[in-house]
Amino acid sequence: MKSRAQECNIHASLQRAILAIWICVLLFPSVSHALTAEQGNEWPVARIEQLFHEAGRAYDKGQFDEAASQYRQILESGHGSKETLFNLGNALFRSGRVAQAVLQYRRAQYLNPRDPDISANLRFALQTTGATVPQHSALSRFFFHVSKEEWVTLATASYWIAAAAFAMFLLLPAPFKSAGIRLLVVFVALLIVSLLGIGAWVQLCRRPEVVIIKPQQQALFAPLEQNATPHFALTEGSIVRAVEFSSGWVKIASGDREGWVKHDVCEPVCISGEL
Amino acid sequence: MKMFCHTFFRTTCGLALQVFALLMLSENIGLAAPQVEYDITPRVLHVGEAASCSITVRGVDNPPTPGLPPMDGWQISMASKERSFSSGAGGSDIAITFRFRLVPVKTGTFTFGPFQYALGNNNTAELPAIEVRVLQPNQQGVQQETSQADLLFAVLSSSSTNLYSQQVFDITLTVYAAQGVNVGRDIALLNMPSSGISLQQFQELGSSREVVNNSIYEIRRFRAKATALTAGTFRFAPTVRLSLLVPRQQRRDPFSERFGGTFFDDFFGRHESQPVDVTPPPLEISVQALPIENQPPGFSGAVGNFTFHAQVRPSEVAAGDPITVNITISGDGNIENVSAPEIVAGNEFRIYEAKMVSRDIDLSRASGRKVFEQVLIPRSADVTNLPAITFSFFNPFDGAYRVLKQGPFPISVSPATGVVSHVVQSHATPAETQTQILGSDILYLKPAPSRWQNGSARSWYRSKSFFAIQLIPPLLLGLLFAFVRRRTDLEQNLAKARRQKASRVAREAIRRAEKALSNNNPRDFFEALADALRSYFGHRLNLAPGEVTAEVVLAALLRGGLDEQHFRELEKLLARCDEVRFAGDTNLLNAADFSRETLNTLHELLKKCEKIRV
Repeated sequence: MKSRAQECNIHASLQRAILAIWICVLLFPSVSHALTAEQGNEWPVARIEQLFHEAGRAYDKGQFDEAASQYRQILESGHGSKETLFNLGNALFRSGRVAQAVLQYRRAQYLNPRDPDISANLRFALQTTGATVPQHSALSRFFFHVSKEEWVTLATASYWIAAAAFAMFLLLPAPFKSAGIRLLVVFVALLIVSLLGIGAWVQLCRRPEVVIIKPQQQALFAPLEQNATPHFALTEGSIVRAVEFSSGWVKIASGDREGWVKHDVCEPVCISGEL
Repeated sequence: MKMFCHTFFRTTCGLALQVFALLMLSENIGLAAPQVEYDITPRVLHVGEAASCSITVRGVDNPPTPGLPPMDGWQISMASKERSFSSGAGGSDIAITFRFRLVPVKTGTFTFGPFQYALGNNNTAELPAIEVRVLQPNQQGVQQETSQADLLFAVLSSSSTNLYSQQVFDITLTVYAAQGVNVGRDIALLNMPSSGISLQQFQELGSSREVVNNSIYEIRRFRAKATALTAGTFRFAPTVRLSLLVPRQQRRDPFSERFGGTFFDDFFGRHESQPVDVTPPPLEISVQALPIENQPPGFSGAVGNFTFHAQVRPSEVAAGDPITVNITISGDGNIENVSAPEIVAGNEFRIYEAKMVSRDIDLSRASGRKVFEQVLIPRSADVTNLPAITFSFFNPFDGAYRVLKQGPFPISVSPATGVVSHVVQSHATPAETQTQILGSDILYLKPAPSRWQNGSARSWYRSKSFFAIQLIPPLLLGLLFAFVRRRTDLEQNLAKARRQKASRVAREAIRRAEKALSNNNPRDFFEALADALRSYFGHRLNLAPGEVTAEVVLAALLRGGLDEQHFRELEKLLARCDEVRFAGDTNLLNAADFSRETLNTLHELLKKCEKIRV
């Protein structure tokens, strides 16, 4: 009887240890997040905040170029945020660079796809130039309704909870096993959906959206400097999908049409490291 | 081979069809105007072969049976009369086909027709002349001397060899097969140019007969639409892979011979398909770039022959309200690449991107129709019309640009109602067209974020440590799985569980004996020794407490191969423990066995026993 009791104690302590490790690791994203945020700061936060407020004041005074320059400094220091991108978009829009504003709004939207302010300003900027946003399928719209970071967090949490559910299934007595299985199925399904969401964003970076930043552009049938036949006109600020990159040329898709534009005519929305 | 040219007809008009007007015309008022189709197939044949002449009458309910006049060198007989019905959107259609069997008995070129066919009710159909060639019958041995190139060859041709960039043209493949050469349905074209030319799927046009070098060939024609994408010279030297149907090598099969094998062979596997590659003579086409001179300003790459129509609605709006322009472009050419013409309306209008709302294109014919919709908003009430819209294309047949113009479109614009509206999206179908009302300006700046993050913090999930930590769950689950499995195993196998427990229990008893030794307590010492032996062998041999006796233990160890010396030592130790425990003699308790050596001996013995398989 004594040895049996000791065995039970060992099992209980083992379970507690495993649970403790899982709880610690579940908190990893936020902990890691906080740690890296502290470690990576080359500029002190106070300096960044000061610059942000100075840019806001310049904007209020109508010095939009100055405001845009200061917002860009913040971004270049590595402190990109949807707020900075949004405000930079506003400053660019006010200074008449609507295509650049569309680009910054779209980047901000990538970081927070459900922000109504970003969507409203992006639509307004597009409306000003007469350009439109590419139409995605319903499934893609669902995936792009959640940011990549959110999908990764959801996938990580689902992964760990699914692992915990499997551990429950292994450890708990028979009457409780079915609960473990149900939990496992739910979180594995959630994990799969999250991975598909991540995949959609990865695909968006491989074939990135680009914004036409120069006015009165035309997509050509072939990437030729001379004698190339124009295919269709591109409005400044149009958001199109890049299909292929070839020595100074980009093959773009707009609706059901594809054509070539020069590399300097457009700028990709997705920045390496941002997503 | 002697051939006659027997091109006459007894009388041109007098040799008119002798129509037997026995039939009544339909009372059906709804019947369409009478139509007569007249054909003879094949038009090239050998003496002795049969040709079929068909006269199909539509729009007449019961036409008189026509008769073909006798012709020198031909045996003509009525074969059949067929009636067919078809119905469609335009109503029902009755077709009556009269078939004649024509068998030539001599060589030459013969002309059937022209005829007049009296349909009754003063209706007469003119049937054109059809020329038929009759050759001498095939001579045995002649084909054996001919090469494969004579029996089967192909020709590749293009509708034009001097083309313009983006011009759509026809590529035709003609396969000639001599009589007796059976070509299967599968045909593949290999080694076509991979770039510069866009080629659609080949489609079979039909088959016919032709005389080439005094031999009759079955001809199959395939056509594909191609588009020249860039300027340059392109050489087509493809290989045509055909499947040839050849008689299968017959094996003597007693079963099939006995049970009517010939009948089944006719249906199953009498022929087998063999691939044959035929190389047609190379075809070279040259493609030139579209001319720069006289290129219209709005030209967007349309090459072909197109029509263009534009419609503007509504024509009466308030300033700030949307006007929709519907643009329809249809025709032959690179319609797939045709885009909406640009509307140049100046600053008086706010112009949105054109959307394609309908697309009806037949790629095999490179023709079709595209409908675009474009939204414009007049900025003020001063606007009186929408300027003309022009669509330009390059016509490769004329070698010139064409500009089609629609408009200007008069519109009446009233002053704005005060509500600022902005059209931001016009969806694909007119039914879904919707207008979203937005604010009249962008939203103000956002406040500073509550927490500033740098780029590396935002992509925390890209770090190596993140991926390393994700390995923990599978590792832990692996360990847990092993643990649970071991536990289940021990629960199910009690003997194994006790065996694994034996040495641990013995060690605990030995520790008690050591303690008793240090306390100079011989009774407890021997009690602990006895307990160590009893517990160890009880677990090790999976015995109940009452079953652990010296005889049982020693017998088991002997079977396990314990050597003589250790056996004796163990026997002595067991006996000594029993003596001390049960005798209760004080002298015995103070005996020399109460020592460290006894403990060491016990330790040695248990280690020895641990190595024995019992």
